[in-house]
Amino acid sequence: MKPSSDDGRTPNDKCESLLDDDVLSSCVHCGFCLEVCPTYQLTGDENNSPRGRLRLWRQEAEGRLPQDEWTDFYTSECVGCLACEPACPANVPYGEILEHIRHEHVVAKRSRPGWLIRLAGSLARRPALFNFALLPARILRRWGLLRQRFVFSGTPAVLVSTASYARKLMELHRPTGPKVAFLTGCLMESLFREINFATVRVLIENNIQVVVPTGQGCCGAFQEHTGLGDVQELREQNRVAFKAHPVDAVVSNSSGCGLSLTKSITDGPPVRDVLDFLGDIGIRPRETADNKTRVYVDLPCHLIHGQKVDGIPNNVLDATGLQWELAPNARDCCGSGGTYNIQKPENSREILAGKASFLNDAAGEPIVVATSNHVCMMQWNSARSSGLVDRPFNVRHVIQLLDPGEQFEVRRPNNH
Amino acid sequence: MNSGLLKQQLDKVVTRGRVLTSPAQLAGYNADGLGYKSFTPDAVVIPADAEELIRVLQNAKQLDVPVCMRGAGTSLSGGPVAAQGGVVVHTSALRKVRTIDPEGFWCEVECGVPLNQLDVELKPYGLFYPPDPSSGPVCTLGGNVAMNAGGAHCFRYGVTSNYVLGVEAVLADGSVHRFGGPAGGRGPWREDWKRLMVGSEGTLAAFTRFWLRLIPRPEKVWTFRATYGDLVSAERAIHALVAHESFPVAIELMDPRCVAMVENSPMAVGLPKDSFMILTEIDGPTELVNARVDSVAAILRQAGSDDVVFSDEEQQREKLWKARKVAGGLMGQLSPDFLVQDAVIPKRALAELLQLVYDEADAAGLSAVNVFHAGDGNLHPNFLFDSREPGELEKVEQISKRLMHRVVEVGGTLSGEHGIGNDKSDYMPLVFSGDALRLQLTVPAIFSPNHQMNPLKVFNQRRFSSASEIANRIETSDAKTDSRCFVPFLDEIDGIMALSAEATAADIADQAKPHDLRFPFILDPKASLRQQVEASGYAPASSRFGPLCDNIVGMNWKLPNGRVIRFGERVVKTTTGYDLFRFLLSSRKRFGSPVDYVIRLRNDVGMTSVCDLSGDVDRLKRAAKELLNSCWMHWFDAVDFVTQADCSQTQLRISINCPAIEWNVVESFLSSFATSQDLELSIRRDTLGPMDGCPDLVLKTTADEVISVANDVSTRQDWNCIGIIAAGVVHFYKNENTDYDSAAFSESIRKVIQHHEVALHQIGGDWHSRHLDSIEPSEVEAKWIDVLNKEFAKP
Repeated sequence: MKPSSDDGRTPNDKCESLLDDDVLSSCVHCGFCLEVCPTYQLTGDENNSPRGRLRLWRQEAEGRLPQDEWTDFYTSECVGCLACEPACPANVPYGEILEHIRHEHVVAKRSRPGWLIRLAGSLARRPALFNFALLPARILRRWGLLRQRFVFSGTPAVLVSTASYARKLMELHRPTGPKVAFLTGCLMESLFREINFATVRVLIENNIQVVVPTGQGCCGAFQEHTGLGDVQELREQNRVAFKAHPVDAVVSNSSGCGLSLTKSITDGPPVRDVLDFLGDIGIRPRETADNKTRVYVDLPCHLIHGQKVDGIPNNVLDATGLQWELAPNARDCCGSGGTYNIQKPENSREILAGKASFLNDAAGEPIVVATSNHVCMMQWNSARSSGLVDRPFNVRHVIQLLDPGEQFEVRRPNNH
Repeated sequence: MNSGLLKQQLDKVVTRGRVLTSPAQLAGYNADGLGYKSFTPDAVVIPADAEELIRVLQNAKQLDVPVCMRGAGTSLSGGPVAAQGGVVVHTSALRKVRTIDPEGFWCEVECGVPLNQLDVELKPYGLFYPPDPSSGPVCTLGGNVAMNAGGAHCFRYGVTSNYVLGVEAVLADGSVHRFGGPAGGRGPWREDWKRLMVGSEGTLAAFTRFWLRLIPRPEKVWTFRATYGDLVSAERAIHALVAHESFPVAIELMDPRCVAMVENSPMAVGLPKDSFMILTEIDGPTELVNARVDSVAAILRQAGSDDVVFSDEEQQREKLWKARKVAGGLMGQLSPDFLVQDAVIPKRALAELLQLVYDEADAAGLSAVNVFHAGDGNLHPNFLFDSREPGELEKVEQISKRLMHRVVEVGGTLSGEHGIGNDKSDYMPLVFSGDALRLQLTVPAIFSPNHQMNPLKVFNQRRFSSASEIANRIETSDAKTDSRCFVPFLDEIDGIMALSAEATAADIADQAKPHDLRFPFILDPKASLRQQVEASGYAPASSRFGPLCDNIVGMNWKLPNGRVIRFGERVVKTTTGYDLFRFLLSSRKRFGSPVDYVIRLRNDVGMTSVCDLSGDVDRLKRAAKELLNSCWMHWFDAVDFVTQADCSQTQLRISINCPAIEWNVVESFLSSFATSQDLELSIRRDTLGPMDGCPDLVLKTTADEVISVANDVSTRQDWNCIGIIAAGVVHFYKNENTDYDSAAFSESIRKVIQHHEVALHQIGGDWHSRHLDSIEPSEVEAKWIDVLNKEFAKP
């Protein structure tokens, strides 16, 4: 058999279509993925590692291992953090393979997501319904009455959508700089809308034109994590919605959603994490006299491993005007995994424990954990109620630390 | 095999860890780094800690199935797999770095500590543990010790066996023994059993923890990359680099097929596709290394390269290494399976072996790419194939067999760093037969006679059977003269010489000097090599080059039955079979006697100078500490603490062999060092280096204890002392008027031993005197020695 390099393609090229044997056999068993895998670190179980999972999937696909509930178990244990991908010398497209296998398992009823997950999945497909269903939650949140361990504090708009808010600000301020299309997301828009509003303000303040395409929907990350169907439908929906607008870039303020969106928008403007984009543009720094607050920055897995961005740009973090540093183990997974903290709460808590314990002795008053992904923020928020951290701390999106507030002036090219 | 019963038994023993028995759980453990062969275990145990691991082994007899230890499962030789079924014990939970002792230059680690994790924890101390197999991000120290792992940088720094000070081993009967310790000696044993443990591939014992030697990190590193249009030019570069005073830490060669593979991929770095690529690296103190950069670049150019690039900047250096580092993973992307061989050959045989690989691969219609650790002759041919295609695996195995035949014929060895495992055990008959094979198999007979520990590894004869009959376990094959005995030779390219054990310094120098080679371990120019080995396992040059057993690599040995067989190799890097060679070298006069030695010569790059720093003991202690923490240590042949019985002088004596062009840099460092330490410096140029004579007593302790022990004994008990500080060794001498046969003399030695023995044994150190018998073995050790004695004496 000739090596498959003859046509210059690697397994990476082949993964768009059905999973085939060659993709599964691209793993060279070197084991480099073990030390970066959160579940291997937790359990020390070879099967609970990328190499182990690939081996089980490959042996099953080749008929050497019958279907087994333990294969199903180990498949469900994966956080989906993708830390294994940059560690892999053979460039095995683990994330893609996991997505296929998860879906196959749901179809074959080897994986049975609970009713809450299914409900969330079907709501995610219907953004308007999702927004409506969570209206009471937005009200409660606004009044600080929503006490759920994952729901961090904030004041979302209840009735005004980000799309209409953006239109209003665009008309008021008329920025003239680069144009971006903004993914408002499903959970972000329906529950954490204040982050979207802050994003719009920061973009426009920095002279960036913002358009929120109508007809956009969930990026599909939820379906990728859970294996529920309709990923292609959602991707197509967004592809169409975003294609309608000629822009310089598509931006997302959720690293996980941004990663998923790259699978929809494969030709056309680049899909960028909004902070990474702002780092390139250069942004107006906030002025603040606050020298007491300390910010600990955590890096979402899907930003650094998925989107393969180095991190949140230093100039963006400096622009917050606050004293910041990277949290210890900032590049390790927090255990959120999108839906993992709901589906595998014990694992998720244990993974978070390693990351969060530093907060007990961290310097600063107040202290803020800042990141660029709302599901990571949810996970960090739960550290207090999980008993991992016993002092108060705030959880913020970095964009909120850059927020000029309702009153601001656009930074034009000839005035800084 | 009743798996239900097995699970029941294991569940009783492993209460805090995990027991895995479902088919899918076992399927994940059925391979190591060699993916194309599967061996499914009957159960997997993940002990929660050392205590549970020990309990599994305490119950091994009742379990009555093979026990296979597994670290990270990155072995490339089919090592940590259940070749005969049984229980795989996964050490993933034992990953604590227990102690780092920067003063003593050692650390204590559990067996499951990943190599890179150790490095991260050592960094703040300015120390490192040099062996660097490329699986460093994941491989465990346990696996490293079991396989005697090497790595790209082992050309100068050495392999795992050069750094293991002590091993805590759990035998198949559940007994736990500490062989050595922080002091790196024997501990309270007559023999140096840790020598057999390192490289034993999980077949003798499970390991729970190790004591490892540490050295200071290099201050400055320069990496060079060059390409060559043909092998002859590349070899010219390699040979010149090997002889150069910069003593590169690594010399890597990639063949044109490997280069083409990289350049045809998205990882391409812009190398000419038909070229051989050399990657080399030098390191050390900044001033010294910077002074060498131009001459190394010149070597590479003069050999015939017109694209020599080099850098000392971290990111640039990573880029230079990139082509070499991506090669392994790339093979995975191009081919469903690949098999990598690990032969070590005399460097002069490289062209021939490469051609053989090409011819064989081309004839079989398979791709083969070659990577060569050029410094120590370690060749890695990689064969790309698809195990699903009928016949391809067999083709590759046949090619490997023919390759190994030729490797052994040219004087090489089967494995330099990957180990034999289950994958190369078929080739062992090429290397071991007759007495040699029988004595190799004696080693597992000592500790695990029914081969319960990792059966079918290393030797195919090692098959586990429930009925254990010790007497029948060892094959008695034809007792004939060993045709593989060494004949006298000098290989000036590898710096290896075989000569009589009765040879003296003059015999060595006669042959070595014309090639600018030397053997810097001479204690007494009039004594034979054998006498020196009997006197001490060390010399002052051990500070730089390690103990004698790292500088004598093979020997012809006369058994008590009169036959002469060979132990060891004529190449410097081997993990083929049990290290009986080093074991016997440490044992000295027991189990037979040496006839010839194969010694490793070192470059003679110029003049040898001896520099004395004089001052009081406290200042010398401080100065020694500072010097030992500096990477200058790697460039001084010796740094000794010298004191006379009458305390008339105490000094640090530094020996260095360096070329004229570097003398200014060296002298400048020594002068400013002397000034900063408030010591007097005096220099003797062009000497033969220290030759203190054969010591009357040798104590092995930790580096930070050397000066105290030497000073104490010297002042209170009237001895002259040479403290080989970095090696943790003190040599003691009575003055020349001593009557060596007198009872008073023996008594004076015993007095020193009595005073220090208990403390030494506690830290895994030991004592040795050529005038006295060794310690009496304990009951346990006596049994082991008995097995050896019987087999060695067998007619």
